[in-house]
Amino acid sequence: MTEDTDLFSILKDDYREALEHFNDALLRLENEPEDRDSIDRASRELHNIKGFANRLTAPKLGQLAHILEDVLVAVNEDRLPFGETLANLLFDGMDLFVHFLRTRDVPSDRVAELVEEVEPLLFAAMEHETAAKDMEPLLPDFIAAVRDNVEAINRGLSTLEKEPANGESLQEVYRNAHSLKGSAMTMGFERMGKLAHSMEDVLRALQKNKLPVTPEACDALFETNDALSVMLDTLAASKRIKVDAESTMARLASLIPELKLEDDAMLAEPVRAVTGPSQVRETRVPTVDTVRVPTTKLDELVNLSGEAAIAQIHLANEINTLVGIRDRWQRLQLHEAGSLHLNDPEMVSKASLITQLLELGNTMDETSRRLQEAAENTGRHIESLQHRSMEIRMLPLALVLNTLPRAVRDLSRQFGKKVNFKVEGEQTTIDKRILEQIGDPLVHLLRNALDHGIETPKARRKSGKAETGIIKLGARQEGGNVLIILEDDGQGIDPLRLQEAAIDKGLVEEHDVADWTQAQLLDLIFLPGFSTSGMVTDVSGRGVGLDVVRANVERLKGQVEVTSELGKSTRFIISLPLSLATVHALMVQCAGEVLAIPTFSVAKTFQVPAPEIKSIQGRQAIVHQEEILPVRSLAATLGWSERNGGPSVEEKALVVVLQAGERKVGFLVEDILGEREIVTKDLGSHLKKVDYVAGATILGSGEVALILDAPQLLWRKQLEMRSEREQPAEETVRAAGGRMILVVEDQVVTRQMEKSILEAAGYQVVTAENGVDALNKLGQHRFDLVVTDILMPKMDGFTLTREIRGNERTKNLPVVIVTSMESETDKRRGLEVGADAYLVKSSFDQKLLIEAIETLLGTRD
Amino acid sequence: MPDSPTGPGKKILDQVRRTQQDQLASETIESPHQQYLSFLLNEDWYGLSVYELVEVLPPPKVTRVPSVPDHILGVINLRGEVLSAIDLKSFFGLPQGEPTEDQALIVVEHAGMRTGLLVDDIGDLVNLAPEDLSEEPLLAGTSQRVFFEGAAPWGEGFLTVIRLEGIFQAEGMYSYQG
Repeated sequence: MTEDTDLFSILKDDYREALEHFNDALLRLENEPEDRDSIDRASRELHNIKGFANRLTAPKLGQLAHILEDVLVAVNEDRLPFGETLANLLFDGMDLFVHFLRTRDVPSDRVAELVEEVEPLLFAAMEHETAAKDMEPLLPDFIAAVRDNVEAINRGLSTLEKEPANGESLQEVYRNAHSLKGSAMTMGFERMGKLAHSMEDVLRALQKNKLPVTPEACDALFETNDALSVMLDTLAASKRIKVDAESTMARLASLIPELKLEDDAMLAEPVRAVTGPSQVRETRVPTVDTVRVPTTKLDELVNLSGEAAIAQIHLANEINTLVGIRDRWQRLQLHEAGSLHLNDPEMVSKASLITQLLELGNTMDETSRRLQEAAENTGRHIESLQHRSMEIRMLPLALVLNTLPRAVRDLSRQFGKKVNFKVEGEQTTIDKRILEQIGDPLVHLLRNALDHGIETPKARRKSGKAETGIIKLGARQEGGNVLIILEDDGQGIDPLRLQEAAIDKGLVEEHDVADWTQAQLLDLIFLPGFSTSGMVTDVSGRGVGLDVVRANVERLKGQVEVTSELGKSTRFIISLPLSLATVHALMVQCAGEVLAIPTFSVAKTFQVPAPEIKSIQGRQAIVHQEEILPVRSLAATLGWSERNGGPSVEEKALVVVLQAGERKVGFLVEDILGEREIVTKDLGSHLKKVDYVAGATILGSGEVALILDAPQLLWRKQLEMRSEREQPAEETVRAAGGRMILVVEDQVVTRQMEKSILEAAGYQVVTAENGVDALNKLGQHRFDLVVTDILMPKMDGFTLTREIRGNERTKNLPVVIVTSMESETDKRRGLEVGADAYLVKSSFDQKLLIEAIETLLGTRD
Repeated sequence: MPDSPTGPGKKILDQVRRTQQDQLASETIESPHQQYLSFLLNEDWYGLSVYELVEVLPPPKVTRVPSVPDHILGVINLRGEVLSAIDLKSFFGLPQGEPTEDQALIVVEHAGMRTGLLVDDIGDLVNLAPEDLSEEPLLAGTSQRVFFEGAAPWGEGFLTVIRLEGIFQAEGMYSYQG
């Protein structure tokens, strides 16, 4: 039993796939009964289904598939018309196959009933062959001889199946098939002879080792022999042969094209001529070699490739260090070479040593260049490895969408609606987990469309529409999302009726929804307990509403919305993330831990010399691309002590800028390890959610790395900063009394820096770009103090100061000069023109500036 | 990646399974004894009902988690599942000694919640009858009382049986939230 169960679970997916294809072909056939491709496809899939049923020890089901296959062969040969009765019988068969897939149970009674229903059709469609008139007396002898042949073939095949290399048995089988063919042809049983001939062809191929003795080949031969045996039986009973061996012929033929691939010489043999042109031309479905793998293994693969990417980045970093060493070496080399020609005997004695060192240097040069190339190559490979392993989890939506036409067919009959169902974009791929769970919501929406959307043919006629409605289901990728759009050309949704119904049901208050927009009203349809249909039908209105659809979609981190044009159409738009399980993240190191930051929160990363991080009123900040960026240590933010106490003065600081909405903060990290896709997990049943942490992922090393909750990090930190820092800041404001300072500076960075220092100290700041600009602004506002640079276009700081002093209104305005001109002459000149303080930028200290300002303003108060 | 438990943990689990099978075999007979896994914190022995025991691991690499109290050491990877790890000594407010080589992580489960408890050493399985357990005299009346079922004389001292439900409901397990 266990073995069976295993086999079942192994074959289940393939079986399901065969059913889906069969279903597909049937639906197409129903629309276009003349479509040969669909008939071929359907009978081929039935053949597969038969194979599965037999392997899964459901012979009754196998028999059903066989007989249905024969029916389709008869249709293909125009011996049987394809009509609604036949279609329904085939769909009934489909249901039984599906029933087996779901329950592993074969409803024998129903199978038998169906077989009974189908058989007469088949019998009527059968062609009969009779013996040539003059041969009739020989019939008993013929039957006896052929029966011997058939039995001998059976025996020989049985041995051959066990011992594929047994040439004797093969010869025996071949001889009997050959003699059977001869007898049949002589008697005038042409089709029987053809069948035997096909068999002979395969056997000859086996003999010549053009075709391996596989179980498949044996199966086909057994089947052929069985067919011959059945022919004999009917011949004995009725002196006629029922010819229904087309599927068997096709199967034999299918063995032969494989031969072509193995040996072109076989083409010369008259193989194709006998197998019938239609069968030979038939192309086999291209089979994809697949391997079933647990998804956890895929996750592991994704993790490991990410790990490899990190290792590669480390490698690249080390190589860069090596290149640095090489550069230093080269400089040293030049230096040494330069000092060699000095006439120093000691130097001369060192000459050979230096030559050797030079050689070593050249080798190092060469090696580091090769290493760099190798690292770049590895990086590229690892990147594609990462992408490929991510793609493995992605499956085409077709796996779900292709099951829907059948649902639509059944539902439309049930509701008495006529509908043309179109599916587009089924090749769009999506994460397996999402795929598995999107089917139910889609079926629900389809039911809704058929029940409430599409009108009855009569109603459609009345409103001037075609009797047959159209339901379109389309899928496409848009950015990181997959959109699935379900559209019907039915009656649409009346927002006012929704509003009324929602109020009636007490779901909303009348005054709440009075001024809602149409879109808002339409959204009411997703409220729990909502159904606009007064009628309770088989599938809709069982208390399961569209709220379930929304809940399901939201559980998949997606969204669903509806738009509608009254009387014309309704559209449901489902938007899903491409992947649930993974997120693209920047991996950083902080306080010895590896942390993942989702890249959608990362604005940028850069490196700055540690001294560029300034302290402005106790807060750290940096000027980056003309913006003042608050900066803090990630470790400290998370409450961890920094390894080695943060970057030292000589070091460069690594800044990761996180962004949430308009807010940006730079976080200092120890190392940036690169970007990659990570598989997300929660923190377990105990911790669930922790501040600053969005989840966890498992690294290739098996260790857990946390995924940071960047928005929380930004907003929470801001709140804390306020509570910690606001106090002193407020005091400063009170002391400063909201005074206005004019900052005159042509350098953007310095200007911004000074502005923020002063603002942090509680002053109001207006900036000007040069002396002329400053004089304009001085004319417009009353300022308490001016901070100015000296070297500026249009008007310099000396001139500006003189102008200020020369103007009655501003002659007492304190002026602080902040400049890079640090000579005593300049300083003296500054004070001569009337500046109150002269600060040099190179020794610039914001404290000094604030002190100077406070002193100046204080003395004037 | 930590695999199936080895060393002492494996031995203990095998023992647990055997006794559980024995108990199943004699299911009809009301067994007066319950089985506990004994473990060491500093110098004292504690007990945990084997029904709440999942497995015993050598101390794995723990990833620190921010904004949680000190006794939550962080998270570990238990064959792909992320799990919190608790320093039980720190949780009970006991003094921290030097970490020993015998330290182990006991993975426990109660009411669908799982965590790993870091302890100093693992001892034998102990059979105790419910009536053997008396209120731990030292803890009676303190706020920590809810963390313990009681204590029974064992060997030269006592075996204090912990109450996982009380520990899981403790505020200190969740003070990071909100």
